[in-house]
Amino acid sequence: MTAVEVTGLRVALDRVPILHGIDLRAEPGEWVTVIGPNGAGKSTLLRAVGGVLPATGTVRLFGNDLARMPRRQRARLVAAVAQSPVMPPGMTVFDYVLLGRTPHLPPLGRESAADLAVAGRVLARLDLSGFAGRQLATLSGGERQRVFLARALAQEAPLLLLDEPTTALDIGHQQEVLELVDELRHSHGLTVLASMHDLSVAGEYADKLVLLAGGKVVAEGTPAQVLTEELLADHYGARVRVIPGGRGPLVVPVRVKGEGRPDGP
Amino acid sequence: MAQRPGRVPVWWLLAGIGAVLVAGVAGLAFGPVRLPPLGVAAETLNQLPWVEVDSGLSPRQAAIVSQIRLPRVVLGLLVGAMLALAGGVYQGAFRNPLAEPYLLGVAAGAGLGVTVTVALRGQTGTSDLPLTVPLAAFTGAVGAVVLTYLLGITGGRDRSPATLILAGVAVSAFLAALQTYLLQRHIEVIRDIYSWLLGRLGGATWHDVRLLLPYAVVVAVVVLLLRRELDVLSVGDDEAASLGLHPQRSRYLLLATASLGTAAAVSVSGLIGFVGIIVPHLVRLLVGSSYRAILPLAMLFGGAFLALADLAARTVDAPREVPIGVVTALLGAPFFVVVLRTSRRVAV
Repeated sequence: MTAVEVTGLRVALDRVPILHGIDLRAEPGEWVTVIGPNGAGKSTLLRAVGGVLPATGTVRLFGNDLARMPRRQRARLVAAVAQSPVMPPGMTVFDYVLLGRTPHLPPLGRESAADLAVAGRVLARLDLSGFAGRQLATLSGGERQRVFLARALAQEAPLLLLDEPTTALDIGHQQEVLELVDELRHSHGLTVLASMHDLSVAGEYADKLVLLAGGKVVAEGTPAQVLTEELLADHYGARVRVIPGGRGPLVVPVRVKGEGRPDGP
Repeated sequence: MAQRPGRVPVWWLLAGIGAVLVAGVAGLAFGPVRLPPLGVAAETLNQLPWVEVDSGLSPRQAAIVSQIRLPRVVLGLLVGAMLALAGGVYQGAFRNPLAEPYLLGVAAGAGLGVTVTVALRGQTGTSDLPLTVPLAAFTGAVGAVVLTYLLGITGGRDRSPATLILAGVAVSAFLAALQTYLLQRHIEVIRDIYSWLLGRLGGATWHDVRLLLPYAVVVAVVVLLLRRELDVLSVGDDEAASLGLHPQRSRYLLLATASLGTAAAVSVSGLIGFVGIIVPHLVRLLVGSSYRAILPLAMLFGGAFLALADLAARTVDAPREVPIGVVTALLGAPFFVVVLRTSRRVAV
């Protein structure tokens, strides 16, 4: 059964069309990363797949029609980490992660010992046990990102949506977070649908890349198929050199000498 | 680590109940007529069904307790509990530590309702406000909040909580303008209206208590049942939605319920400001950020706070009374500044 099957997805925000008929598939256990220039609709696509935006077209998650799924059932299938989530002032890491159990609680109910245990396990898995009593506001960027991830993992949903999970992080913490996601994907059998800006990093971690431009899918395939100098020039307006790398190709920006600076040295 | 965020710390719960008892007994014992505290306690027990104790008070003293001070203290506890509960709900639903029920036009609506009633009655020479005042205040408050919601919903697809606050500001300004116009036309009733606007528990009767009690019970039950949703809302609307909540629906339901409680409280007590800010904040400092612990405690401490503020209002300048709204504002305004400073520090 396909984990994510998006067909003809259209989304308009404030009557401005953002996505014009997107088709996208992700198989269970696969890591699919959406790339594209600013304003291409990456975040909108992820939010629509997560069911938090009204959309036309169909989104099926593990065979279930998203539009017909009750919210709580949906929340047990898909967990999302937004680009810059709200940090409730004064809330501790443990309480925040425990909120991830919401879709598993009976309506008006409270957390059981099992829910507390899940939150504790997730914190331990992400090396956050020592932070349980700390307030979110006191954490560093990398720690925060792990806490956001922990809340999503506490949902125990088989599909994880990550909207630019590493944008605020330095390169070391980027790798740390993405390695962690990759390990969790393998150990928990998660499907990951992410959006990313850094093309080399995106290519390094994804099984499949989807290049979005102007609200349409303009290319998809393995990193080597999508990260080509021609495609990136066409859709990003970028001059890059693509070098074969360890897993995916490496995208290096190059400057054409003197361009934009007629009087340059 | 396995501390559940939903649990109200037992010690603070006991402290809250203790504060209510202390405020209650103090409110009954002190006043223009000094009464023996033990007799007052016994007479209070006599009010309960199937209890019959000899309080040793004269019939006149007993009447002071049962007909004058007790309804006033009970009303103070109820109004304080409602205002503090509503304040906590507003702060959670708007994710804004400065939010208060009056932001959605409750005060302006109630003020206009009362002004219309009193102005239409015209000058009668008596200083008593007509019995229809609570009804008018209630209608005005609920009407204003409904107007704010409608404006907030149609205000575009921006779903941020700020839209609703802005709608409240617009509605408040509009209603306040109408009220000012009416006051200009009926300058003779301005004194009556201001005595109500400044808030008052003097002259409280069991009738007022009976008027407020059903609303208070319904509001408290609904809000306390839904209080976990406030914690979920605090992580953001998108996140709340992806956790299976209907954020907008939850927010509106909670706000409507809290507004109903405020309107009911305002209709019997007039406008009493700052309780909804002071109390939830102090409680937050004591027990942390979870609304599941904050709201029940805010009700207890809010009730105790207002009963004590009322005691101050009628004793500092005895036998005259200071309007209770003046007492809470004198305490609340400096507090507001402190909140503003600390919340700005957190935001940075």
